[in-house]
Amino acid sequence: MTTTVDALVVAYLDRLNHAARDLPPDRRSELLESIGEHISAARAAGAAADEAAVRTLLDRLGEPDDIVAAARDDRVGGEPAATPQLVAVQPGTGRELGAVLMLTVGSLLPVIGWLAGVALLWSSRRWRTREKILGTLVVPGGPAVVVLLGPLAVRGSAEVSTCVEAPAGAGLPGTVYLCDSTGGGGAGWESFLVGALLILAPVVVAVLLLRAARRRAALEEPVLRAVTQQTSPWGGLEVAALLLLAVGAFVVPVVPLLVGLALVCASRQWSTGTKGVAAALVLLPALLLPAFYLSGGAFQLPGQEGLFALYTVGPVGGLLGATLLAVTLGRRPVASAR
Amino acid sequence: MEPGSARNPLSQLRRGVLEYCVLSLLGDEQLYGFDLVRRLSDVDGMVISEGTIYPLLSRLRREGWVTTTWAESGSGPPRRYYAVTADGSRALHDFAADWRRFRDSVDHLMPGGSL
Repeated sequence: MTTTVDALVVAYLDRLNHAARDLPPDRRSELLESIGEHISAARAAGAAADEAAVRTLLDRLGEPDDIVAAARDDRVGGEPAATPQLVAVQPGTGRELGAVLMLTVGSLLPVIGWLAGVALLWSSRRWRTREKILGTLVVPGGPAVVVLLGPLAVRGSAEVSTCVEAPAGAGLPGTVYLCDSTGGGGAGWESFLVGALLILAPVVVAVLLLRAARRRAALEEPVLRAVTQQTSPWGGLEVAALLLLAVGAFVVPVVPLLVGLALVCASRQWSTGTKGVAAALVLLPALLLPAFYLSGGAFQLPGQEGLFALYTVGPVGGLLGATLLAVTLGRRPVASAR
Repeated sequence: MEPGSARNPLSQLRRGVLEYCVLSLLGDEQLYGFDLVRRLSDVDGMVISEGTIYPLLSRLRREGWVTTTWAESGSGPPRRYYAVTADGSRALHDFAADWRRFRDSVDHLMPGGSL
């Protein structure tokens, strides 16, 4: 029946159209036209009179996928299409380095930095589960938390403080309380020891984890990468550095900036000039503030505003530096490899 | 091994020589697509999927070895005629010479040849 024949033809051309959907439009239309022409020529020649004949005709034409595959083929005269140059690259440990850095140094950015480290830790395929558990439990929150919370923990032990408001006119900025603590253990040597252990332990664990990861990465099969493909300049070192610079100083003054800068200097992804400019951007505001205080007299800022300034200008410098570094990182030339 | 399977060395060979076979057929006379495809199919083992001849013809046209013209057909709408160009003809004759040498050498080395 003619309608069955038509239905079969339409179905076939539909499949062909679908298979050819990602061809360049001119090639696609040319292909569909030619095949359509072939079919109508066949019908005109009486080779598609009934259902069986049409099925044979379409079978002989072949699978739409094969036809489209041939249409993608650009070879003429038997020469192979240009294959992308491939290069074997030993897989790197950027992620593991980032994890280790964020778990230790990154904990200066309270909670967020350490959590980022945990996320990187668990997403790596180069550590066994028990190693990941070890990295998470030693120490939750990271060593910086010990530094930040330690004094609180120490002081909390049965201490009684009496605080008295300083008399006005004593020349001190704002309202100051003079506190006198009696009783309580204070910082005994035992707490120091515990504190030191709690800071050193994560560092030691981090070093061991990193070495294990490097060992395993060295045993992995080299990865084939096309030479034209850019290797991303965003390594663990760079991410940790930028996070600390951009956000760290909003919580803990100055220290994250210094550590972030140290990481920037350690990275090979920025030119020395860029590093210098970034350092200036970061450090200048952060150091200006203490300078204000120390210079006394003329540059004194009244209490609350002084603190406010310290807490905003410093981090802004870090943010500026981090922005500069992030922008220049994105524009690195392809040619310079790690 | 099936004739069409990718690992069959002949399918590689076939892909390489098919366009020259097409050029040769067109060298004798211009042909409609349908005619060309059928003549090729008639030769044993040359065509697995007739539909793939059309992309091949498009490639030959892009390469400048084949031209297409529209001609009225007796029955129905105008159809495409394929014809070989001077460049295509030259390419064909170069290939034919290479092929004869190659074919003779392989025949010579194959079992039953004059080794």
